[in-house]
Amino acid sequence: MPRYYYGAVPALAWILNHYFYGGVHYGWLAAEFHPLRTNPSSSNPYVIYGQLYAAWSWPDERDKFVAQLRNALCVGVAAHEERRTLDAVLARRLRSICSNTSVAFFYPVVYRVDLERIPPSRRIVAGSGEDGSNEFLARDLCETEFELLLADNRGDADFVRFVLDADAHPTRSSVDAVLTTLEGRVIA
Amino acid sequence: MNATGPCFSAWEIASLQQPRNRELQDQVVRCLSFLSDLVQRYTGSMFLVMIPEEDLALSYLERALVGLAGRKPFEASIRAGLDAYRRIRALTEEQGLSPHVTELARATADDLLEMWSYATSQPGFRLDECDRRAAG
Repeated sequence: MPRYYYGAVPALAWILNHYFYGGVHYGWLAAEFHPLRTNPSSSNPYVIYGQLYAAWSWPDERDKFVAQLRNALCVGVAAHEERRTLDAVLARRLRSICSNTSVAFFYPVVYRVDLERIPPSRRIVAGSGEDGSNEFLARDLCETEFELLLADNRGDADFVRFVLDADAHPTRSSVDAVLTTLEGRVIA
Repeated sequence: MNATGPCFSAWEIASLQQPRNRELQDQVVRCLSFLSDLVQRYTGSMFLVMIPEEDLALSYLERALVGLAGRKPFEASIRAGLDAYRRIRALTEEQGLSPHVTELARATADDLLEMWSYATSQPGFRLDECDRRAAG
């Protein structure tokens, strides 16, 4: 079994996890980050990275895959609201952000996770993972348990500020700044 | 829009996109999000599933639907989606995750995504484009 697993997510997912979900990250991880067909396409972080990068770079605000991810991120917000880890007012703002914020925040970032640090009890295998695909879901990754790769979007000052230069523990003012910025940069 | 799948009427779409109906819009988006999550697990790919425990996702949807009680056309449209999900789930119990099931689930997921795009006032996503993603 390879030592490192990889997952590709939009920057917005990282931002939600970091600033609003207590720094706990949710993501599907696969054994390779490789263009060859190592896993089905929907479970291949390289393919997911490419799809997001294409939508971001165009920029294609109307990309179907981005729309699917917006909807999925809304599910995450609603699930936190149900678990009372988000209040209704903040959840509503975040749902609006997931639906309306610019594709600029769908710039892909890649998580590299050292499998030795994730015990089997924290690896959820489902879907194609039960059918030979080398992947699992980690729903509780701490930020000390992964490295962020390919996060070199230095041309976007908000990305630099909210992702690359993020404090380990967000302050009230940084959370407010994230909300205001995400609400201000919407689909053109 | 799929002629036989879940969808909003023109009246519902116009109503959802009025600024004074933001609260209704948010309730509808919540319901559609949970519903999409439920259907997505039958498409052959779990990548977009955010609540792996199916019964938990269903309980969240049922609670969210309480907020829509009495909002007749909207509640009925979401319940039509819920019926479609239940048909997919029942079919899976009969035949497993067959190509027929995953095809039906993908078509339903697309219908729900289209409803979601109207509910969020973001119609125009190219939802009819060929799905470039292979099943996984």
